[in-house]
Amino acid sequence: MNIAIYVCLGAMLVFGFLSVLSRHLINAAISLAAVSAACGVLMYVLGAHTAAIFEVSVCSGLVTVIFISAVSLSNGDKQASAPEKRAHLLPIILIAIGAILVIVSLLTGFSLGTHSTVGSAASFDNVFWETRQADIFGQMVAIIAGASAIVVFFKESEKQ
Amino acid sequence: MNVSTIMLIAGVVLILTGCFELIRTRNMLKIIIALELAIKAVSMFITLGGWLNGNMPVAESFVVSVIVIEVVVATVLAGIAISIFHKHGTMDIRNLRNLKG
Amino acid sequence: MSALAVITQLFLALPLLALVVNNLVPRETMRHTTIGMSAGVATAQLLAAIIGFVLLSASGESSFRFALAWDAAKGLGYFRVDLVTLFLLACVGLVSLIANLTAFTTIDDHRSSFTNLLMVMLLGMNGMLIVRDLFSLYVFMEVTGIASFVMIGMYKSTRDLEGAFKYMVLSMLATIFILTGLSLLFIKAGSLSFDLLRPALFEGVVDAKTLLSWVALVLLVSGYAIKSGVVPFHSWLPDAYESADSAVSIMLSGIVTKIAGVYSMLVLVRLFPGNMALRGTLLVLGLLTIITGALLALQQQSFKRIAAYSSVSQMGYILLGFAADTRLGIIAGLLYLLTHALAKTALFTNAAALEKRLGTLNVNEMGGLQAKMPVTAFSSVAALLSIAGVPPLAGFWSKLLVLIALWSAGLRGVAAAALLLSILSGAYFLRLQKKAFFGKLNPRWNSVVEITGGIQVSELLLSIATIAIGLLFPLVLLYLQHAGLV
Repeated sequence: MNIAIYVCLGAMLVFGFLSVLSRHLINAAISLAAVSAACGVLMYVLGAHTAAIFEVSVCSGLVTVIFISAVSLSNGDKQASAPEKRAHLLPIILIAIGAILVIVSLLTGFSLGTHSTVGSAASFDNVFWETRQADIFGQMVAIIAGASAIVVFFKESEKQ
Repeated sequence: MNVSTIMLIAGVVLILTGCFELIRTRNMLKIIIALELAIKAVSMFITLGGWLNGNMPVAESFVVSVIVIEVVVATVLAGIAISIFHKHGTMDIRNLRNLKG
Repeated sequence: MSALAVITQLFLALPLLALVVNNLVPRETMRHTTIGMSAGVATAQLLAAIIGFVLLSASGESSFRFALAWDAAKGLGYFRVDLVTLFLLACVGLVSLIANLTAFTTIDDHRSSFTNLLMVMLLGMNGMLIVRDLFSLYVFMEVTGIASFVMIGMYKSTRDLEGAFKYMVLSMLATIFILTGLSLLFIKAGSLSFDLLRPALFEGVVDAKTLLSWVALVLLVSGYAIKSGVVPFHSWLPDAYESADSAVSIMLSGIVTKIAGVYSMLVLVRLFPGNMALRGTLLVLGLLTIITGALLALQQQSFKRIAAYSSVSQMGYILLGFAADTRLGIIAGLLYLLTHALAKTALFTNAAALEKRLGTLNVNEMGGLQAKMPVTAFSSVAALLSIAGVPPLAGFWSKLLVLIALWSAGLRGVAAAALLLSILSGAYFLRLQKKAFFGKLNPRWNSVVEITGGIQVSELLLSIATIAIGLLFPLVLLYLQHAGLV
């Protein structure tokens, strides 16, 4: 099980750096989808099965679709011919930060403990539908807000 | 140094990647990528929390809510970016210089 | 079913109902009707919150739990109101009412989504105020945020979109901070419910999880600071206020930053009383904000930008009140919030009036408008004096209460500094008044006439409220003394 976790973490980091470094937006979007897929697998391994399904289908699928539509709607972007400077230094700095954190946690004996099953008697369905109604209501309103946003940005005319 | 610490560190690195890219990039669509990247790491943190304290169903409900909200946010951000693109013909934020002071 | 159970349902049901009705009727022809409807919703909310406040304080209970209508029958109670949130719900209703009155004049015929977005914003803010869980607070904060981004960019002019985009990017940063903070807090606490988060999270043996809780607190405070536009996270705020339509600026400045940012800070203060680090951070942020906001306001040329930076500056006093970390401090902060909301809403309605009649907001091009627009001039003078803290207007008393709260909490140096810094707010307002309304009339405005309609009504309403609250404030003080707080 630990091996699977390490592989997923490695994939998330590598594709995360790739999505930041890639010159072309489509490549970045695909790398992001890969990060999302790896995150979904990680969630599955940790036991969050429903969240994993959401992560893979919505984040890896829907967000990529939204993103690629946005890229194609902005076709003819002058930026595409002159991509911005790559951030070569960024991954090095980040890896250094990671290494420092690893060393610090080794020196201080930092430990969060390990897997616990104390309170997991209830199922996801019960918890989600019985105790998180406020969140569900909020999500509903957020989707209405998103729909209004689409109407404003793509349907209404500009101010004269 | 156990597996949860490693997950924590990897998540911190990913969140920092997202934040740095959010500030550094000049392309409006790449900002969405940076945001989503950081949110991925945060969802991983929430799952990790559920795994560590045994409240995995609660963690799962949080992750589902975060995913729904972030999709809406990404759509709105893309909508604003495309509207700006129709004005300037470019996705470069260096053109956003009308408001000063 | 008690009266309170009915009233609390209204806070979510009314905006939702208005949303449905607004999308059923053919909208392009019914703009004024739908704005009138949302004004009705706002008025109803104002009245409902006031009645709820009276009922709850008469019942002697500290809070009232409820749920959505179809869940209430099952005996669930995942929402709650208490006196603080009912007070803030009333503020939300009041400011939205004024925004709607202004919108009658400023929103053009193609903006049929205005009512939709305003109702979503109301739902978001009401949701933030009634939830019992830090995570639900985040969800509704995001809803409020989405509605604000879209409302700022509603006209799709270059400036609007730019303001919306800047706000959105910084908000995203805030979202990342807040979510990371919540997830770290969740690792330790196993829940984000207000009932289970205790100051004990930060006490005891310093182990890895306690350390993460401290990191979480830092991240949450910075995230909420971005949302409330506090220095050093203020850069988005003037851009957003300036570029948005005046009706939207009223909502943003009057209430959105206060609910999304400051109320969230208040939640932290109430969850973790006695946390010295939190208190110190709020003090530093508050003082920095007062100074920087006032200095930046002194350099601006646009009426709306001056008002925006003044909003930044005044936010600092509210934080100082909360930083006192006593009941009196929280009450002082909340009363400051109300008086500031009144005054700032009045200033933005003045901005709407000036923009409508003059077509410009540059104060250097104004001058002597007092003769031509007496109502606007009067209400802006009243608002400015109230913000500067001149007795007997409302702003003076709330500032005094903040200072008393700081003094009695043992923070005498801070109280003295805050008192001295309030001179700065007097300075930028004198400058604004001199340039805009007093002095010689700029001949360009010889044919300007006073604004009419909804804007004039709200200007008068707000000035009367500011003066009346100021004159009646001793009653509030008596009440506080009766409760043993002053």
